[in-house]
Amino acid sequence: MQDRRRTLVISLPVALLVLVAVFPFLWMAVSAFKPLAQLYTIPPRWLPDPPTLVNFKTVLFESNIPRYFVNSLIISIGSTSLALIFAIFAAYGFARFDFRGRSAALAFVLIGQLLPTATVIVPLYIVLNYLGLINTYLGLILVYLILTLPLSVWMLTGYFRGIPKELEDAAIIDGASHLGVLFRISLPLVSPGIIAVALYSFVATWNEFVFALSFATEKEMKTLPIGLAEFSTEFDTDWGAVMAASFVMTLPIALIFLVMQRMFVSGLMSGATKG
Amino acid sequence: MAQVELNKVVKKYGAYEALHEVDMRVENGEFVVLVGPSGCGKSTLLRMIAGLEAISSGAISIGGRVVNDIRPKERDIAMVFQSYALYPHMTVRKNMSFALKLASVPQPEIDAAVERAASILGLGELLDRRPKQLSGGQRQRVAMGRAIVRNPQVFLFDEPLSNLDAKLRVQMRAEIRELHQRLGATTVYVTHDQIEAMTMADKIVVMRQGYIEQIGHPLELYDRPANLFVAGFIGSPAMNFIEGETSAASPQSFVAKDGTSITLPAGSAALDGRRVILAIRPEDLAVVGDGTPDAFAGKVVGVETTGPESVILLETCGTRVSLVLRERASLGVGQTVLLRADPAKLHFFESDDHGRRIIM
Ligand SMILES: Nc1ncnc2c1ncn2[C@@H]1O[C@H](COP(=O)(O)OP(=O)(O)OP(=O)(O)O)[C@@H](O)[C@H]1O
Ligand SMILES: [Mg+2]
Repeated sequence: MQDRRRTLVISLPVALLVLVAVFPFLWMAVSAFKPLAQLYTIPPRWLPDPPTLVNFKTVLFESNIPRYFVNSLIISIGSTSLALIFAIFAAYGFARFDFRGRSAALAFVLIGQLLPTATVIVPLYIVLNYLGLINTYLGLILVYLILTLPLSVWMLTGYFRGIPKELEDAAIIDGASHLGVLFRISLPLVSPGIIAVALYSFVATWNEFVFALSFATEKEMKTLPIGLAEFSTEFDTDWGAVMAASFVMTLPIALIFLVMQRMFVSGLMSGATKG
Repeated sequence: MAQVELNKVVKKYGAYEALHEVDMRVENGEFVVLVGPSGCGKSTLLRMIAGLEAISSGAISIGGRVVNDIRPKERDIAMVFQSYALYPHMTVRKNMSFALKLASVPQPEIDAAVERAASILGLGELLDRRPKQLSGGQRQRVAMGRAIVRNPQVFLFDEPLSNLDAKLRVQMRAEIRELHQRLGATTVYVTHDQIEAMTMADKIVVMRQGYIEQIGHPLELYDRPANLFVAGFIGSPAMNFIEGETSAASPQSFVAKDGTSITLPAGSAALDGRRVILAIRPEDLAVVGDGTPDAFAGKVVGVETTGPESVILLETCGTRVSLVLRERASLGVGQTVLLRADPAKLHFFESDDHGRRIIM
């Protein structure tokens, strides 16, 4: 009796939360298969009748969305990889080496994160323009590092700190170099952290709007979030296409989460020490 | 095989000096135990021998070669950590072969070395398990296996048994000794457990606050502790200390601060009327019958029986002393008994800060 009441107390808010979180997604998915006329009916129709693929046809064959999809993919993967490489070395340094000004530097890393995006757009534009990086993949990839690197470094620093120092000492005694310790011992042990950071970074850049809008103005360079806006013209918005494009845009993220979920192995560290 | 030599070794952490000019020598094939209370610098010393901590000044040599600036992997040492420090993402086999792999030893040789170590330690069945699938004692064995596959010149152990339960600890104690006899490698073993030190060591090094207090064979430390600290640290239950004076007038007797008089052995003139601390091991005190010469009274305040022997806590001579009885005690708390200290087994220490042993 007690137990059942407790289950209810826990499951009710969870159900509510899931509903709030999933409803827009479901509505999007359902709407993507509706013909235009059914999108505006009052009262709303829950299920498309009959479902149609016309919106997807518009998105995939009559718009620039495929191109934007590829752009987004290149930029997100590029910037996530770069962020990971930098973050791994920076975080390992912060976690393991005692140097002058370490805590100040670590705090400083986050300050970048606190600046409102709007304040850095103009300076960044000037710099990117000077370097000839406006409307290039590299330009956006580098700019996105500003967005994702600080938190990535912080998260990974925490993960690296969680590795017992004696493990690394043991590896050094066994003859590993500092880099050897990092790659053979520490890195495999923080793989849940690496996955978390990669996910965070990929999602953040995949959805980014303001920087993409400012620094990728040419049609060949635009990313998906900007591309979605192209279905809105001055007079009309093709909501069916917007929904279908959103569906296409959400798909990779959903897939990544499904695959990665299993890789969030817990207790990877257990067994290293007595516990 | 090699000897290890420390010459005026100092370790500083910023302004704090953790080790002060430590001199120590471990002979080839010797099993030396570093023992001392928490924070005395045992681990620091061991890690300096291993090359995990820099040496602030002085020199450490292994096999006659100064290793101050030599990296751990070139020192030909192996170390077993208190937490075992097994690599959790590798199987037991990989854990044990890691060092050899890094040293580019050919695979067949690695396999042979791992098999050999596994059979010595009884790990054969466990080679393909991960550390988290092992019990504490098995992890401990793997940690030792990882050390012995490398066939190093020097073994370093940092409190390897402190995470095991009492029974397993006794068993592993014997196993480590056996292993040492079999391999004959020079060994430095850190513990804060004086029983471990007494039972395992060829030579004990007692440390306190970054100083070495005494170096010697276990029984030498037990029978002739160099100072009050060593006297109190080695032995369980701990040695009894009684403050008092000797008088120049009657050199045969010691008067405790509550007035109790204890008879001294002949030839105690060296004490010549000084304030001293008299010390006696609990097993050298005896409960005696009425009329025994040189006896003094004590009041029983506690009785602890372990089975084969009983520890009696008494109040006498203005302090608390313990006494070990080899038979079942029929004494009750509150009872007053007569005690006698074996005059040949008395120790004397200066009653100053150093508490040095007074040699007679
Ligand atoms: N990295 C460090 N920075 C500053 N002081 C340190 C550092 N490592 C150790 N110390 C100090 O050096 C002294 C000796 O430490 P050590 O770890 O060698 O003690 P120990 O004898 O091994 O103690 P325990 O039995 O608790 O393991 C301690 O006072 C400790 O506080
Ligand atoms: Mg220690």
